[in-house]
Amino acid sequence: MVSFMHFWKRLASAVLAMALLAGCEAIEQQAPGALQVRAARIVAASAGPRLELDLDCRLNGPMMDALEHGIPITLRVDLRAQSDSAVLHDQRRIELRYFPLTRRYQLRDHREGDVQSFPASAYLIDALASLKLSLPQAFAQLPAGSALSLDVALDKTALPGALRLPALIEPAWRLAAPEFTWTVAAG
Amino acid sequence: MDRRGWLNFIGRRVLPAVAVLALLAASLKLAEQAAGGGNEFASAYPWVLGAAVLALLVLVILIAQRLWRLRAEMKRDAPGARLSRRLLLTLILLAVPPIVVVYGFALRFINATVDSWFDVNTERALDDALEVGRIVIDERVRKAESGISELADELDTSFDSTLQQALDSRIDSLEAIQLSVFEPNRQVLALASSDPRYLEPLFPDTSVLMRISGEDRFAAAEPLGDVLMIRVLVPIGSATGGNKRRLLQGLFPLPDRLQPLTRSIENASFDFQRLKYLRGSLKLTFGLILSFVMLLSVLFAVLAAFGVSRRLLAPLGRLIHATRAVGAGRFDTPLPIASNDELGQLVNSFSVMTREVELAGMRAQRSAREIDAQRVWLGAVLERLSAGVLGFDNTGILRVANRAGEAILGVQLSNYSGRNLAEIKRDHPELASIADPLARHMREGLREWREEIVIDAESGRRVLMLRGAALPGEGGFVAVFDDLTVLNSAQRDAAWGEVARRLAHEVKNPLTPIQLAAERLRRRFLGRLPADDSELLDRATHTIVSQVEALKTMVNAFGDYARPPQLTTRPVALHALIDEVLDLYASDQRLSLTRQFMDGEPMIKVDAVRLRQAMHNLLKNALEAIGETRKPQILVRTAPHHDGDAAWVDISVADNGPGLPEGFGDRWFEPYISSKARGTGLGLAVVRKIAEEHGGSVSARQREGGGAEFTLRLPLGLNAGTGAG
Repeated sequence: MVSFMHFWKRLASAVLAMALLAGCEAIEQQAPGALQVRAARIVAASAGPRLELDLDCRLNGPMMDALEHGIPITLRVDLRAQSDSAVLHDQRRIELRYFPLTRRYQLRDHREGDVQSFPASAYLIDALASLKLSLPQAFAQLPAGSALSLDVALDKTALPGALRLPALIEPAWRLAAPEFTWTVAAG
Repeated sequence: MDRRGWLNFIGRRVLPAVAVLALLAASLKLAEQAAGGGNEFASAYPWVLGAAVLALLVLVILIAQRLWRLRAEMKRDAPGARLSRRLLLTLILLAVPPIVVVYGFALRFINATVDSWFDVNTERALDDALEVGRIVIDERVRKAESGISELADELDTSFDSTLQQALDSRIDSLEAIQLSVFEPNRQVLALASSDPRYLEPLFPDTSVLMRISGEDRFAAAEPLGDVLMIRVLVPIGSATGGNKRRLLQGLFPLPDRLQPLTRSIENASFDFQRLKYLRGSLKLTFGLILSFVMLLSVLFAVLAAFGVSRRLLAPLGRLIHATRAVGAGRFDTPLPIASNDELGQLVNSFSVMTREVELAGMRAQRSAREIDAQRVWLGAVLERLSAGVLGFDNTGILRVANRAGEAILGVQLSNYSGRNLAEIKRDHPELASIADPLARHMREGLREWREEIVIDAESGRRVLMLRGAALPGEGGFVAVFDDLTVLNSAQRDAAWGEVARRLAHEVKNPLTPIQLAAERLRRRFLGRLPADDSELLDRATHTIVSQVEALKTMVNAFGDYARPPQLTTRPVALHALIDEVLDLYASDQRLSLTRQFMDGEPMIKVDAVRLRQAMHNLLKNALEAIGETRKPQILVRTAPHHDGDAAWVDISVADNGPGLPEGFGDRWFEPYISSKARGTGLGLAVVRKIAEEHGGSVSARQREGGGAEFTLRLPLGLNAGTGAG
């Protein structure tokens, strides 16, 4: 009876160790991508205020794989401005998508309908370094010294239904930039 | 149910069930969205997942809590705990395996179904279709590129003023939808369009311009709005001196017939590839949802099993508790409320049984009390019987003996309760004369019998009338015996009293005339007759007179004995009275008379004359016993005696004579029993009579070192000793 219990204990320990190793390997394979806001500023253009955004985005394997298989990757851009007189918020969605027939990658601003097309994913990712997003007119009237914060992250709600639950669990689908803050300069 | 009860019911029963149902519904919705798309509840995924994890945690905690409680109940052997565990295991065994089996089959079914979507031939066909589409588009791109290149060469030698004309002339031949020439700074130099929707120039973006600067041309099909468009960009002229060249852009739509086909091919291939990619995620999503549903169902089933087992067994536990309480005699223990099922019938039956047991117990208690009362009453009766009573069970074991029996036999029979006759006989051989006939008659099994027996008890020889009877059934035997000795003595006393009265009446009356006649004869004829005759007469008359005197004395003694007890009692100083009597004997120089009186002067209420007579009789008895003893000694002493609450005084007269004759007993205190040749035999009988008249007694014993001692015991105290007077 005692040896039987010992056997089961050893077996359970071995299984546990193997599961632990497998888990570690899976986590290693599912390393999250990287996303960072290198620079951001609001520019007053003739057509209205514009957010010029420099994103350093590196999609990991599963995300690139998903993109190649037609899964759109959507980045949610949340801009918040706070001054003494007002609090402003603007949310944009930037969609990265691949079209297999023409082998073109697209960068699309959902609100404006602006579409950029690229022959390779590298161009698509590079395009994120020079995003220009139009903003509501209220952002042009922000007084100097107003605090601005920017959050950019993968929009998991835009993923297909089958991917939403795993995206909540799997580390590979964690893609969010640290909050970027700056203030409106004078003049 | 009051408001608090309703709230409790909703909070503890309804809400958890609703929450679990809501979670299950949400899980179904998530599964539906995972399979078929849809985006309505996309933002609810984290909430549903969090709620699911929370629900599982709550269920696990609740189950652990109930398991812990069950373990504690089993440890303290709480009523129904083991049954609850058994029922719980049964319910879990009934509920969990089907859920797990369904879960396994569902998981397997989903995996198989999802895998079945991806047929290799379908994938190859879609890939081939996509490739065909690409070839067609590439062909179109090359054709457009060729045409634009030719036009660019033509425009290289044209003037700016002719650019628009050149474009207008070639747009139809090239089948372009728009042709445009613009400077590197996006200044449009010429634009021709065959479709009014494309009158605005579509400038290439930075990436396209970079491609042109690198590859000197750009040709690609790309979606523009809803349509697939071929865009070709070619610099006009050759690159010299680093000057940026003008660009010729041509937009070529696919034919109308080809547009939907390419879109359809792309969508189909795209959907297939997307599904192929999502296959793993789909399985994982379904697996997670199924696992969550399975865990939720299993845990909820286990929790429900706890609830069901508790609900089912709670009345049983209370019933067990009640049975223990009833077993301990607490019949007022409240029983669980009977439901209308078998358990309710059990509770009702138990309730009826409890009432009956309670009534039976009350009856038994009443019977026991009655039996006790009967026993006490019987004991009291037995104790007050002058006859001795012995009770034996059917094996001959002594069970009952009354005090009269112990007194008659002179043995503490209560010490022999639970022992048989042989043991009593072994310890007291003198009781053989009663034990033997008892044993014999019990052996013979006679219903009733009687026998007169004689025993030699310590108190003397006793004649007993022994009667026995077998009790009904297996009740045993009872023996009753009367002390005929006392009865005989009383009868003899009565007879002697009658004799004495007759003697006093019939004998005493003629004695005086006889005496007077003898004295007259003596006076008339003494001296007148011859000397011999006179002498004879003298002797004869003297004998007659002296014998008549003796007869008178004897008759008076009988008279004293037979005299009705008419006592005249008064408080008397005992020692003074004894001194007065003893003083009469003090003149005898030969006698050594010693007095040993107790301290103080005890006052007793007696008839002084009768007591004085008793003392005289005892002293005379002693003197007669001493007889010719060389140094006659008489010791008179008084001593107190206590028997329970009763106080007595013992007046003893001891002598140094030959002592009590052999076989001295109670009968020696009866009239006409004497060891002396000349005694009347009434002295001690009178003493006993006087003693009994005063509520006392007289006894005799052999003195150590020789002689006898007679003790007259009288009640001490002024209220005692009234006797029959």
